[in-house]
Amino acid sequence: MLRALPLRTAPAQSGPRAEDELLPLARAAIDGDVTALRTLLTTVGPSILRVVRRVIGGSHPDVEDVAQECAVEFVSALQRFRGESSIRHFAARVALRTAMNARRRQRAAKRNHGLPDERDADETAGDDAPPDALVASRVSVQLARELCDALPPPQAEALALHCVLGYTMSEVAAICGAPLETVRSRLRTAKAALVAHALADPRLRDLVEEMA
Amino acid sequence: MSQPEATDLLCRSRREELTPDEQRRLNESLQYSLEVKLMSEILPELERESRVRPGDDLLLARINARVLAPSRLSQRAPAKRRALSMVLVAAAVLLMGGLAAAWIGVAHHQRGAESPAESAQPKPIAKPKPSARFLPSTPALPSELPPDPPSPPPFAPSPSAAARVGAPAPRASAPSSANDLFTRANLLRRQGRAGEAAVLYELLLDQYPNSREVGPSRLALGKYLQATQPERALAQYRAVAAAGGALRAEALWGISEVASSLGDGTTSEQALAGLLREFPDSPYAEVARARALHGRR
Repeated sequence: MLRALPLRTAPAQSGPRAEDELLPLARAAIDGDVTALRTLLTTVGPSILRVVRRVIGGSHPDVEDVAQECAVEFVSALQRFRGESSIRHFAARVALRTAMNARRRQRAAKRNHGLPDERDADETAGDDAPPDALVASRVSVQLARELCDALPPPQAEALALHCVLGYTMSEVAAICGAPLETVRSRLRTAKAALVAHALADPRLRDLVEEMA
Repeated sequence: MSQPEATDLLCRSRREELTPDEQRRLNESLQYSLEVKLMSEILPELERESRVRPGDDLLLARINARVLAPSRLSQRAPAKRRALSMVLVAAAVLLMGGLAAAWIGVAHHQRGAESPAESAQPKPIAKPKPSARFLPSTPALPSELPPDPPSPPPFAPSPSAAARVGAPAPRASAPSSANDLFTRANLLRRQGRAGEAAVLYELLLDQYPNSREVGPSRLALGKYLQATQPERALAQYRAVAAAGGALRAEALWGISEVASSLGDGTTSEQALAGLLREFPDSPYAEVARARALHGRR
């Protein structure tokens, strides 16, 4: 009986939702109700900001600009919302894609201008260099972000949703509108790449030896 | 039913309590699985980076105000209207093209009628125009080509501008206008080179004191200087506030913030009162009221 259930069936908390409390608000906003749109933006704004900070870095000087870009994209994408996920998850996905694109753009611009990637360097060194205990965390975060830049988009999105935003695999499947097995497979490849990068990074030698 | 993967357990453990069995499985995975261990390093670190900060309410209010600005909302034309606009534009282009072709045809016909001998002459072979890349920079340009624009003077941000903001001067080619300087400064700021951006904002204030970029540049400088040179930040905000206009609300907010950090409660309160009185609908006023309600200020 369980086998007959389609794998795409999302878990109760993340699937298509008649119980999504933001859905009426979203519908009103789509119909042109500016007050509803304002309320909706106020509600999802903190989530958007959180996504942006996780993707580009909490103290990145562009947080506000990128968050605004995400909000604009969200408002524009709302017209295409078909109720396949919750509004919060929809906003998170739009924000994630926009922020990842912004990060890729910035890195490409820096490469084109021959500039070092200062942000990433700052994350692990500098005046406020973290104590040893924090180095592994920061380097791991840096590796995850770099992988999200480098992997093919579907894998990068799955990795970011799971490892960066902390969604479970079934939530990732619901957010992406992809079968759970597909997400599992994408994540398997992405996480293997993460492990390979960690093994090759001398800054994580202690962590790796600890595991061995 | 398959058991949840360890990384799933890790994700769930960040927001809810796991069952003892799940917790035991997660602990075991943390001992032997590098991918779980890596994720256990990543997620808490990112939670720390993305936690709510003081000023987030204001930041979000600013973003919402910009996103909901009437000009931006009006750009969100429904797809049908956009399609109709595109059809109309295409029709207009075709119509113009047709009219132009007809006009050229008539002109050609008239010229042919006026001087048939002329049209019988073989046309001289047109010399190919030299590629712009290979044009000599100064002398003897063909008359139909515009002369090279005068080369801008070498760009050297005044040392005093750099000294004033306490940041190194940026390496850059010569900016040709206030707008160019402003754009370049914004770009540097976006690249995380706030100090260099501040030097360019200062330079803009020095060289183009009457340009329309002065107000936003002063605000950007105020924000940059707020933490390190609050008195100078206050001066920038005061100048914007005195100029009036749409930026006054943000300037009053800045005055209130800086004065408060300097321990000048009276000035801070006066600026806030002015903000609430003059801009009751601005996002700053909204946040100011909310803070007052929650006793945060």
